[in-house]
Amino acid sequence: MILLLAAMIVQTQEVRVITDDDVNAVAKQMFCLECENIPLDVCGTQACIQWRAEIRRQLEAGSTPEDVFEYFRVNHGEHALAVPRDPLLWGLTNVTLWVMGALALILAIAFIVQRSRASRTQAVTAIATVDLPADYLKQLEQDIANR
Amino acid sequence: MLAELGLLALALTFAAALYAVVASVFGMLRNLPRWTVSGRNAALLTTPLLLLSLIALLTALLGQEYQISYVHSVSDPQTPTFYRITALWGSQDGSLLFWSFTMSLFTAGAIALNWRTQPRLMPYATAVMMATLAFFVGLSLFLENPFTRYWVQENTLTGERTAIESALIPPASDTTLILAPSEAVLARTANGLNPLLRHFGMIIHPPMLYLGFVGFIVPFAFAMAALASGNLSLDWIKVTRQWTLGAWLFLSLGLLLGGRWAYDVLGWGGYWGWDPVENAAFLPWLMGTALLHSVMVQERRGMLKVWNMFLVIATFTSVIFGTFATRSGLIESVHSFARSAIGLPMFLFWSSMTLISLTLLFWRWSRGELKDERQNVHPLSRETLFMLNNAVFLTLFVFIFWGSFGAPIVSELFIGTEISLGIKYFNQVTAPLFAIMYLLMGVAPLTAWGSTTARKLGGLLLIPLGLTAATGVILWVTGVRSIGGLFGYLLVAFAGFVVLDETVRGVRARMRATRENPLVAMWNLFGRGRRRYGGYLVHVGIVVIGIGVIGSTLYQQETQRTMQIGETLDFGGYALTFNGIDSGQVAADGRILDIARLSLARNGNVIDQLRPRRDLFLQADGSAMPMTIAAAHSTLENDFYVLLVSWQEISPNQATFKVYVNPLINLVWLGGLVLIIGTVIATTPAPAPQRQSAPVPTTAGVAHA
Repeated sequence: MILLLAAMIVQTQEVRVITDDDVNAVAKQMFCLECENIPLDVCGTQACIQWRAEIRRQLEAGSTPEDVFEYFRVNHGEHALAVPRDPLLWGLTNVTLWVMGALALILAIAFIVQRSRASRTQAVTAIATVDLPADYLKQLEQDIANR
Repeated sequence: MLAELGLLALALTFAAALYAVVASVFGMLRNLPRWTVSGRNAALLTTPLLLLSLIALLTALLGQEYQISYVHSVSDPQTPTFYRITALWGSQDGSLLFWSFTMSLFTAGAIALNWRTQPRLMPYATAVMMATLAFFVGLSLFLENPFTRYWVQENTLTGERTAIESALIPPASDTTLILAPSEAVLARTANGLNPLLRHFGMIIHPPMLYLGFVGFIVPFAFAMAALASGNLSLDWIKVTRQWTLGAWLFLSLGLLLGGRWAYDVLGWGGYWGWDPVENAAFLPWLMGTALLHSVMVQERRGMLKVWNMFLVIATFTSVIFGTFATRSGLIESVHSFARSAIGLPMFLFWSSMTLISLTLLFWRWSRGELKDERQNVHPLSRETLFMLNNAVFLTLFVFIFWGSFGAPIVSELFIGTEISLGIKYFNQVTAPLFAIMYLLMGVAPLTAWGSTTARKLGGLLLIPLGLTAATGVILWVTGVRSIGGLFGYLLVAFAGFVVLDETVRGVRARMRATRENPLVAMWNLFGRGRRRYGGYLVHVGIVVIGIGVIGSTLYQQETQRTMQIGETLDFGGYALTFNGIDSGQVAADGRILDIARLSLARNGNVIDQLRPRRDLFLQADGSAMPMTIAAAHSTLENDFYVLLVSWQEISPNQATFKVYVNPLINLVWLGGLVLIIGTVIATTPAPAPQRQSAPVPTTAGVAHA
């Protein structure tokens, strides 16, 4: 009797109540494999209906969203997911991007700094060629520093 | 007869365009004005010829000439007249022809307005525009001909009949007869317009996009003319400024309308999915925006000459690349593009055009002919901030290009795995860049050309920063607690407050000087400074769009529920009651409609009746294509948006609904409207200063020596 009760409890725990929203939250991060760039949660093809049913079945059995993504990735390829999980592909899409972005930012700042230095170098050169009394120069430098 | 007429006009256009290229270049190289004038005339002739071709196709659509295969593929006897017209650009062949026509219109306009004032540039510009036109007309003539017709070839010996497609009448022989297919059979088997295209947006979204895309041919052609001719003064920028603005305006409108169309008919509650086709249209917009800012630096400070040329090239080549990517099948698979008829020719055209233009640029650059007049910049100057702005736009371009095309192509070609990147990816990588863009949008208008002191800038920032801080407090108190949302709203608001403050300063200064009242002062301020204040209004539009995007992206709520008749769903502060389904309604065009009846209430009061529906479009082969049309209760605060889920059972007693609450989404459309108005103001030329004649002195008044 106790064993029967335990089995019933285990069986109840295995089947969670999964809502349409739970299924869509996972499907939203996947693509229809037949259509072009259509998220799985809004696709009405028969294949998409079956895949969403599969997602529901797995969630009811206790799988996490990550488990579901892995299942579809293994069975249908990275194309099924909105963000690749494979480390190499993740690196291709993310790391490469941030490297390019950082490079662009560094280049832009370096360009501006280089052009600013050109400005100051030209100004210093111009002043250095002028023959001014020392105390006047000193006063000038003081005024510039105070500005 | 219509097909023959359209085809003849198309063939003559092709010949005229090619002749215009040869005559213009020959005339310039040999200094023979008669040849350049002849080239110009041939270029102008392409517009009426293409118009004739377009009218022939439109007449065939309206007259239901199903023997023409394009008409057969995009319409049927039930298609309403409105959609017969929009079917002109509803598929590849027709849209290519329409594209060529809009290009010829821009070319004719550019030639007519600039021929006399820019004699050194015009022949080269004409040659570039006509070479591009000849390519696209050639695609229509040889690969995607809209006048291809169905024929039946009958073997007189065996009686066997074969259906064939050909633009020209196939040759008959002793043993074969060529017959026109039965009109009744053609009408019965006609496909009709793709249901996704049966939306009011179809009348305007594609034409606006095409006007935007092809509009950029004018600045590109003039830039190439400047490089080819050696006239590297500001002439090419001055001539093309309004064309660039006009193209940018149409492209902006096309993108906004596309978003609205997606929101209304694609059934996913959003308006921008970072789909590669959407991104292909967005990329030239990014480059065009960078260009519009960057040319100001060249005009004011004589700097960034090479960069501006590069931007013009990048803008137009991204138009061509986007067209290539979407029309060739590249987006489906990197291998499928070669199987599409136009894939390889478009790729070759794009790559050779890019190579030639960059070669010209580097040639002039290496000769020292594109040297900046100034080499130095102050860190706190408008030109510095515009350079940073350009860096942001370029980085956005690279990120979006990489996510849409670069990474998927590299992955498929070199790793052997197909990938697609979704909304989450693009939102993550672009959000920081948009944040920087709004920050720059806020600071740049307060800086001066040349240099600004930190003290002066700080003084000008006081009011906008103060208003931003106050906004932050209000948002926090009213419940906006998400750090990301708060940060986004405040950045966007800051940019808006800067523009507001600048405008108020300008109005007050004018009022002090002229004693005008505020409204008159503002009107005259905008009238006299159209470029500046039109630009400010565009910034306001971008600010309003930004608020709408943050609200509808970060705070969107959605749920899906199967409801029984009489059941109420409480969601997002609303109560939605399902009252029934009107199934099997038949529309005039033969669609079968299932219309749900829902009441929407708030705080116990019924505020709207919503009718989301599912349309079933019956196909010639007996199948039915479903489409869901959403119903929405729209306010400035949000949209309560309901879809009838078409793939779940719809019975008299129950149906499944997908419900979204999209906060602030209507600010996206409102902001778009403000952006359009601002661009129109900025594009409109300022009135010419009035000459005042001094009175002529009479001889009686002149003192005699």
